[in-house]
Amino acid sequence: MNRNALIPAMLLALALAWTGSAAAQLTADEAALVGRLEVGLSSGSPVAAKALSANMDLLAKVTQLDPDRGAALKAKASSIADYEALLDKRWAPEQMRNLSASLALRLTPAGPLSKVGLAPRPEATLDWAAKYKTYSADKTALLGKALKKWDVIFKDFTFAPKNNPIGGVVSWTVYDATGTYFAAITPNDFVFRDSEADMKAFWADLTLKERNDFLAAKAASLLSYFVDSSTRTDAAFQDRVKGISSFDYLDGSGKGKMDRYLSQMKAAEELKASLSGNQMMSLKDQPVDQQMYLLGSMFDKKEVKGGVVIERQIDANRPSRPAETISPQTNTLLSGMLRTSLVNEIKGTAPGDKVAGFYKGGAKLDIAIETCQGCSAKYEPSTGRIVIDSDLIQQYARANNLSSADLLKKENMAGLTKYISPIFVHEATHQMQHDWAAKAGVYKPYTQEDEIESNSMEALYTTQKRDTDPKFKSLFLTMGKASTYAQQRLELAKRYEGNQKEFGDVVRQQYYYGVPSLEAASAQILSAVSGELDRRKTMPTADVAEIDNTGKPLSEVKDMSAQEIADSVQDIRTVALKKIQADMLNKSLFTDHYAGAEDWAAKVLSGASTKKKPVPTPS
Amino acid sequence: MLKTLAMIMLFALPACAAPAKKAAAAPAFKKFAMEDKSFSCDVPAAWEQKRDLEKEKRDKTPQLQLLGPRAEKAPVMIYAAFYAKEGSYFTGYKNFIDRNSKDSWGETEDKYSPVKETVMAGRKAFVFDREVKTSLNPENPSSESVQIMEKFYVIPAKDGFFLLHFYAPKAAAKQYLPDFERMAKTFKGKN
Repeated sequence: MNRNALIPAMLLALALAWTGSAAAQLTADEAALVGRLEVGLSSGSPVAAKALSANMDLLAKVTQLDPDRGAALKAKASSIADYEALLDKRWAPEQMRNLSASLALRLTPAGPLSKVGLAPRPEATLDWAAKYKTYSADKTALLGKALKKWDVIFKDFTFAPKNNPIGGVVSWTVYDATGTYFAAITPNDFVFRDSEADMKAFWADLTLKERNDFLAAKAASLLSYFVDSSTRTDAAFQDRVKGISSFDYLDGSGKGKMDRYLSQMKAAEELKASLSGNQMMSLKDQPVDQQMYLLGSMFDKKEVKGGVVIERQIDANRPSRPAETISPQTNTLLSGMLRTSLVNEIKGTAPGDKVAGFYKGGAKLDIAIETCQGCSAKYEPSTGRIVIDSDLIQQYARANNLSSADLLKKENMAGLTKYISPIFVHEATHQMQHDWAAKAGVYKPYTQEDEIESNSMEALYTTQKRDTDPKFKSLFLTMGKASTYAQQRLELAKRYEGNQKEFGDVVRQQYYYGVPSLEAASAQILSAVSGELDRRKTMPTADVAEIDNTGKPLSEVKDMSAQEIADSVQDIRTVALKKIQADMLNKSLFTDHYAGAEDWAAKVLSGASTKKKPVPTPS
Repeated sequence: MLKTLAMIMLFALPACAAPAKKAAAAPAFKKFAMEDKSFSCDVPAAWEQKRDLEKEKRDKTPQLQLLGPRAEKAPVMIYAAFYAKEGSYFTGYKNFIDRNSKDSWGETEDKYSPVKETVMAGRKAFVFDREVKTSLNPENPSSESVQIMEKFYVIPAKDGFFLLHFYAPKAAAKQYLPDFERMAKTFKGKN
């Protein structure tokens, strides 16, 4: 538990301790103070937030007399403290995307910061900082960029109109301050207006998420143009692409595509040095995807001399050939075989036995192979499926010179199963988390704590498997030279084995920085839910009855994220809201669960490391 | 009641409505001491201090985590901790060094320095560093990666060992390593 987490936990403990004692009314002074606190918190005052945290007795008393009012006070103070801590951090310019994503997560119309005057208008944060903080000019500028303030983003930009002969503007071409193309704005874009001033005025009313989405879409469109059309891969061109300002605004998925594009250009350029004139001619006028495809063919036909490592790099980066693409029939067979082979593969390790026991105990295992869109695998709570990325499997096939049909052969299936098994343990742990919440009858938001547990289970599995299965170790060392997926599995295992105590911090601070902690998620949910329950107290009975008849029941909202709950509280039935509120107030249920899992893993790793046998030589 | 009065006075002031501007710039370093007096050291004053008291109680490992300015989308962190022999993680300092000073997979591109014996505040200690490639999102195969530079001081003690650990993206390591070294120079541990 971090320092910020301590205050709400202590408040809750006090509130619970109060329960059962005789109810006492607020004195006149206390009532006045609570009123002033509410006014201060409602205007986002960090002073009020600190003042509340300095008087836990009073909050406990308010909570006992009026749980909704107490929860609202607590949630507002927590959200202000959380936001202040986020903004106070030292942010480097290259972290703008992360900062903006973190801000967008919080600056939503129905989020807790909307109750304190800081959301959804992004510029409210700049007003708040000017009032309460003394940030440097550089930091203020970075905040302006992260908040997508018009005057910061488009400073010294040129909006060149394409005029309609009969009047008005057909489209805008936007160039940045250096004169480099930035984006085109057409009537298909929701921000399109006939004048720059009108667009600026419209921009002021957009949420940060809407601004980010727009800029990310424009950047993605420009990136697609380069990927699909450009034939250059030289170093100067790579630098030029890296310097395009529009790409500063790519979202996570777009950034992934950009990384792949840069990686392909780098790999292609390294290979071109060893090509003959004729071979170079065959690459001319081809976009980079096609160049990688052709380079793969040259290696396979031994037209170019190179090591196995380079060949794997090329194969991993190139698109799949038809025979390597998984057909629907192969997909069905492969999914079915993996259902059995994965559970058998993981047995014999502590995390694997835990997962296997989970399925043996009646949990349904449903494996699907689909495009995962930016992930190697995922657990889908809505369908109960574990989806393995089809690109991951196809990459494995390419790197091992296998067709997709070859994968069905026993020996190849064994290798593929080993390769997928760590991420399977990870996703199965997520399934177990959902199963635990369902059996406990509680709403559980997705938080960093879920990822700490899943990544720990995966890393512990990989470590134990390395020590007991030479083929597994050999496979990951070989694939690790060409596949990011394999490198990531090794990285996690080494980080976890090195120091399990610090592992969770790397998960929070680096791997899942944009995912809310349990503390942040519960504050967000409590604020939204308590606010909505307050609102319903003043609504006509018939309107409340209408929501309770037609709104979302608990069964429909149990898999929602904290953000989704906050965004849709007005459509959720009262009984469901009260249940969620009660669950979030009973946070020790969750912290005890995660702590139990962490302690179990520590015990296993500690035992394993002291009894560790020499690592067998790979065969 | 006193607390309530103090807060009423606080709120009687226009602080709630008026800007709460920061005071003069804080000193670069300040003293830190564990409440159980197990260790003390100077810490960068502006860095965020984090403790997880619940976890410390469970794993018998008091630990201070310091969070500095982020760089290359990754954290800059320093840890100071005492790992007791009866704690949850290591059987002793040799076990820690064994698990962190070499590549347990044997053939990857991570770089490890040799472990050297040194002296810290008149006590025997060990120092080593490593440079490892890390992902920004290990679930995304297209994720960016960043080179992380780490440095470790391991100080054996009677019933466990102290650990000072520096973690930073390589590009920022040079800038913040002196802060870590200052912590190390001022570090004092029990027994």
